[in-house]
Order: sequence, then C-alpha cells, then structure tokens
Amino acid sequence: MITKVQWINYIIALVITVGIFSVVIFLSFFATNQKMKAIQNAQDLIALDIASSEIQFSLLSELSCKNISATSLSKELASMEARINYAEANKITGKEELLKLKKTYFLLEIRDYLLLRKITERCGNTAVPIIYIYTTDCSECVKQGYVLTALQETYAPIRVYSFDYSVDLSALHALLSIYDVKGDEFPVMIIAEQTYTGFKSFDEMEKDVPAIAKVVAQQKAREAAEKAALSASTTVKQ
Amino acid sequence: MNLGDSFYVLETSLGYLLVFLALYVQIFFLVVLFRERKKFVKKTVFPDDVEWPAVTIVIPCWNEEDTVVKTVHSLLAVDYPKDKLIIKVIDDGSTDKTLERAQIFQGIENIHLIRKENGGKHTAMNLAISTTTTKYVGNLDADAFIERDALKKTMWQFLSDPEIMAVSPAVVIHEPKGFLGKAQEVEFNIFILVKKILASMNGIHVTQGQFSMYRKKVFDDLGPYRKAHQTEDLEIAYRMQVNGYKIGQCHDAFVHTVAMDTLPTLFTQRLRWMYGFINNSYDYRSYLFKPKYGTFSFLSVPTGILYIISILFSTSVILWSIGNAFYNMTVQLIVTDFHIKYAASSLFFVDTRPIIIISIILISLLIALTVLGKFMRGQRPVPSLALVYFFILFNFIGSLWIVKAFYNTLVSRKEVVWR
Repeated sequence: MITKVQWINYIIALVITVGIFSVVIFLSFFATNQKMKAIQNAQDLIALDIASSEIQFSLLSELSCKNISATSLSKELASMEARINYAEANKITGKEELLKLKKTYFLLEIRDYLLLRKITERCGNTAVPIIYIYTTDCSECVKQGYVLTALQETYAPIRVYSFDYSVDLSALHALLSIYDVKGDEFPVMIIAEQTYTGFKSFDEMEKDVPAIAKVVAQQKAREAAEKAALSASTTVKQ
Repeated sequence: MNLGDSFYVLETSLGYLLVFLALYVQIFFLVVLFRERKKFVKKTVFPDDVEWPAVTIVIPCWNEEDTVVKTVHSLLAVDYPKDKLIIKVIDDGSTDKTLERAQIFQGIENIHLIRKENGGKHTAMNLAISTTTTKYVGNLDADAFIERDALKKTMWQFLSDPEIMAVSPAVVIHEPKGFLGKAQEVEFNIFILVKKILASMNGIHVTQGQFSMYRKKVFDDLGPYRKAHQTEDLEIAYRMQVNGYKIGQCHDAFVHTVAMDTLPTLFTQRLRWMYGFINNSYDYRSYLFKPKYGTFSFLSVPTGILYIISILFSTSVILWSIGNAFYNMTVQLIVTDFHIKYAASSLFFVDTRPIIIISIILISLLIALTVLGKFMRGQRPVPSLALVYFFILFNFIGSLWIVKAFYNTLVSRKEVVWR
C-alpha cells in the first residue's frame, strides 16, 4: 500500500512560499528605490553646494579669501563615491540607471575640481587635487583606489577626483584630452599638472610625488609645532 | 555578455532556485506539522492488558568491546515480558574483546551469542534473521541503549496499525559533550521532528540501525538485507517504500546513541551515510520523482538531494565571500602601509537583495525547527548556542564529507567500511 501524495499540502506550501517570495521581492525593490533616491537627493545637495561655492567665488571681488574655505567644498563627494561603488559592485540597480548616476557624479566632480583650482589660484589655497582615472577591469586600479582613499583620509588637503575611463561623457573626454590621457595603461593620476601612470603604493605616493611630499612635510611640521607648544605650556604650568 | 557576467547570472539564478526550493521544503514541513499537530503532541499510550508478541532483537557487533555490555544490559532492563524477548548478539569477527565481554551473558536463557567470520553488518543481521522464529525482529547497534519503555511503545505501533511494517524510534545523543556532541544533538533532535513529519505521510526513507523494528514478513517477502554500499538500513527502507510497505515512527520511544567524539570518526560515519545515500538513490533512480511511489519518491529523497546541492552551493558562496573579503582587506593593509580607516556605517550599505532576506528567513525557520525538535525530545524549547555549533559543523565541515562521497562515487569507487 503506497500512501497517496497529499497534494493539498504541496499546494498550500507553494502558495505560502510564492507569497513570501513576492513580499520579499517587493520589500527589496522598495529598499533599492529608497537607496537610489538617497543617492539622487545627495547629488542634488552636492550640486547646490557647488553652485553656492561658485556664486561665492564670483563674488570674490567683494569678499576676502578667508570667507571661502576650499576644504569645505562638497564633503559629501567622497561618501557619494562609496555609495555608487557599492551600488555597482552589488548590482543593486540596472546598468543604465547606474551609468546616469556615475555621469552626474563625474560632472559634479569636474565642477568641484574647476572651482577648487580657481580658488587655489586666487587665494593660494593649499589643497592638492588628484585626478584619478581607472577602469572597472583593472586589478591595479582597485589597489590604487585603496591607497588614494587612505591618503585622502590621512591628509586633509588631498582631494581625490576619480573617473571611470569607460564612461562616455563629453566633459570627461575634454578633461582627459587636456591631460593627454591615452587610455593604454591604468591607473592614471594627474597631480599638480604631472601625469603618473601605473600603481603607486602609499609610501611611494608620500615620497615620490612632490605635491604630496610637501603636504606630508607641512603636516609633520604642524604636528611638531603643536607638540612643542603643548610641551611648552606644560613646562609653564609646572 | 562577458564570462564574468554569465557566471554572475548563472550563480544568481542557481542561488534563487535553491533558496526557493529550500524555503518551499521548510514551509511544507511546517504546513504538515500544523495540519497534523495533534499527532505530534500525542504520547504513546496503551491498555494494561495487552498481549505482547514475541520479538527478536539482533545486536550485530564488530569491535564493540566498550559498549556491547551496556547495550545488552539496556535490553535486559527493558519493560517487556522476559519470555517474549529474544536477544541475539552476533559477533561479526571482531578483532578486539567484544566476544569475551559478551560472554558474561552466556547461560542467560533468552540471550544467544553467535560468532561468525567477518562479512559486514548485513551478513550478521541476515544470519540472525534467517534463524528467527518470532513475527517481529529488530536491530540495535552495539553503541546504542534503549529507554525502559521504548520496546513496548514501539510494539504498540504495530499492534495499533496492522498496515505498519516497520517502526523507527526517536534516536537521541547520549550525554552530549563538547562542540561535536552538542552539534550532533541538535541534528538528531531535528531528525525526530522531520521523521515524524515524513512518517505522517509514509515518507520515511531510512530505518536506522538504532532500534528499528520490523515485521519479519518484510524479510520473508522482500528478501534479506543487502550490502547496499554499507548502508543496509537505508536500502531496506527504500525497498519497503517502493513495494508499498508502510514505515511508522514512534517519536517518544527514545534510543540513545553515542555521539562521534572526534572529527575523523564523525567524518567516517557521515562519509558512509552520504556515500550510501548517493549510491542507493542512484540505484533506485527509476523510482524517484514519481508520485505513484508516494512521499518517499516525491519529497523525502529529493529533499536529501536538495540538501546536498544547497550545502555545497552555500558553503562555496560563503567561503568565496569570506576569502574575497580577507584578500581585499590584506591587499588594502599592504598597499596603504596599514593606513586603513573604516568608513562610518550607514543603513545604505545594508544588503537588501531578496536572496539575503530569504536566507535570513531560512535561518529563522531552521531555528524554529530546532526548537520544535527540542520540544519533541522533551527538552525546553528555546534556542541554544549548540545551534551555532550545528550550523558550523553541518554546513562548512559537512561539505567535506559530501565532496569526498562524490569523489568516492565518481572516481575511486571506494566504499566506506562499517566503522
């Protein structure tokens, strides 16, 4: 006697499983939408931030340089990049939407970079912008990304503007042609009008790139001065 | 689409298919559990004036000097009419002191000691069954001990349902200790629950050596035990199922078995089980996925196959992810001269892909099954740390014996010995 298959149990389980799957897919879709909206909102805020700085800059003749702080420009840009990279790595959105986000982000970066240059020229700001060109299929670029992130976090004046070479954006093409980036070897970094090709470690960046070496020296000097001041004040108190 | 994209699509599709099927099976078990809930809480009760039938319990031994005496004592202490219980201790050519230890029972009327040349467990069982005169015969491995009321409760299943041809008990780990013991305890508790669910649909696919009882008619009709890739207890259940013989389960007839206390012994045991499952399922492939062979064909064995594929897949994905993260972290530390700073956490970076949410639901349902398993075992139904041990042991380490079983099946054709 073979016990007949009780199809009702199979059907009930199937209905519940499909139901759970549908709810989960809906929730996941909702969460992804929220994330995309968060990126777009943040991009809008950055655009406003840059526009505000640009207007501030235009009014420079009526303002003194101390009223413009280059380091406060679009602090959100770095975290924006992390979010876009996460969205790309985890494929949480479609390719077209991702490309749109990247293009917007690159345009914002270029605007921020141009503004930073103008402020630096006019006010003698100490900021060191790095234009970093990568491609998504380059393993050395991943390592270079780690190094540049660490540099930016260690030295406040360093500002990294990263661009995906494969993104078709006329403003990006113009930028690349100015610096004669041919795209035959990656990663590429443009620092103080100098072009560097190939991977450079943290240590090499600190020592071999004059603009960064200067930032490192300034930071060390500042730290030494602060230490000396602290020890002097301790001695006076004693 | 490049190779990387193709691999991603394949991996994602397989992942979603597996989590869907795994969720379906878990939901299915819970649906049956809910619909048949009265059976699960019901204790075995029987009248005082039952005319208990004569039974033969066979204890096949191969190098069991440490446990054989305790096993026989547990049978002698059982609550059953002494003149209705015959115990046959078959020494299958042990090379240790098993026979010498068992000699202390020499002279006891209902205990038969038989020594034979080594030939494997199935030969020991068949020798005993061929000379059995009782209508019921059972098997108790020499590393198992039964509770006092287990025999009566088991026999009552036969007496209360004439269609039942075999009864499987509730096997529990005896005094579980350490990481391995506690992980195996969780697993065996889940087995009690799952077997009860399968039994409610006549879908049991293994009548394990720890005190499974049969009507002798099973062997008279279907023939003796077979070698069956060293898993004769699995094959006899397959044979019974495809021939329409009903297998029951007595969820409150507790049999204690000793946990494998080292990884090598556990590996050997599980390799034998897995090799047996793969090869017997292959031998019976013409009976699978066919509704006319019932739950066994349509659910029990397919669930086993799904378990194997899911474990291999999930372990590969998890290990790959951990390895990848470790590699990236190492590269990051090296290239930045240890200038690494952790980004502030944000809800944005919480992974909300459907496969992750479904996996969390699957783990939650697994925890629910373990808690219900504890309830069936008579323990307090609350989650414990042993669940983590279980998860680590039977997911990550469990993949090793699955891979080896496939290797042995496809390449070396090497069977795993009894122990």
